[in-house]
Amino acid sequence: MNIPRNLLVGEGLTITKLNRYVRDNTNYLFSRPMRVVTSRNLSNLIVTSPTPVPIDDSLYALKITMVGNEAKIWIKGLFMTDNATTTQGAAFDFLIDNFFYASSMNSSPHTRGLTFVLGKTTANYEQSFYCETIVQNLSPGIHTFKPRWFRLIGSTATLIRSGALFQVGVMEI
Amino acid sequence: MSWNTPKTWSTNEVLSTILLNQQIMENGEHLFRRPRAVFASRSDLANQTMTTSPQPVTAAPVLELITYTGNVELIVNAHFTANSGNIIYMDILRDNKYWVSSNKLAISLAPLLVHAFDYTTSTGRAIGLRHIDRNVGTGLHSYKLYAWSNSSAPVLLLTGAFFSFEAIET
Repeated sequence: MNIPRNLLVGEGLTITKLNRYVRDNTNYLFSRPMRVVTSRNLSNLIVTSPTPVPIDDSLYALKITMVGNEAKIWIKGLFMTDNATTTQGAAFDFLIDNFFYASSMNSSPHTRGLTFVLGKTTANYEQSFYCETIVQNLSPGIHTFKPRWFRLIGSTATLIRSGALFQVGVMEI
Repeated sequence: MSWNTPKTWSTNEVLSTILLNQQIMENGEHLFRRPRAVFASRSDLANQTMTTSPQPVTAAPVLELITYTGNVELIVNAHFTANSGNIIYMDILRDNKYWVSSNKLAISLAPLLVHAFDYTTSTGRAIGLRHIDRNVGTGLHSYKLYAWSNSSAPVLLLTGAFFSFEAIET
């Protein structure tokens, strides 16, 4: 995408300008920078860490090259409580380049991450979760978005991937 | 940047600077960064206790944007504490007049969001809402978020929890 600018009266309409502002920009707008990873039937994951850890950066690290400053990020999946007597909950966040988007973990704010899934004290209690939000004030260029999670309540938390869909995504908007 | 209805060029029509700027540059700029208004809280704000009648979410500003296509995507991310049996309701007032759930002056019997808690949580649970508000018309539009409950027990967590209210032309 080339930031559009007004042509001046008498300015030549060159092939370079047509390719830049019509072809390139149309291609960009037709297919904005986007990266989506969907897993449908992988093994379940369990987190025990009380601080953010990768879900699986070999699969879910998302890298895009941005022209502008804003992107939409989202995460959706299935969470399970597997203990009938102890409440379990997990928080999810994104590490954008080198900072946590919602929870810096440096102080008290947003210890629940970007989204917090809390289960009922019932064995095999499943619930889906979904969160999307617009991230602002990014600089043009390459950015990496890595999903992070941690257990907030209870000693473990389970992300169901076996027979279930899990998706993370980012798109420049 | 404004949006100009794409024109059909005529045979022998002159490619004027004005038309090229309107059709290519201005429309390209508009599509590149469509009108939006975003509030995302990543620092502590005061929690808000629910009431049994609709009340504005005090942390959420009124979102204003000028639309050209008349469709607006609305996104809400919130965390609530609640007791078992509590129900959270949310709806959005457009232009300080119409409820998005009903497109009328009155809230729909089924507001934009209804979420029932089947367990008690003092730590909170995330609730997300996404809605496309169709055919709102060209011009300036405002959106204000409301929340309430069937009980005065639930609390909208704004301390230690992420909260966002977002609107973008789509």
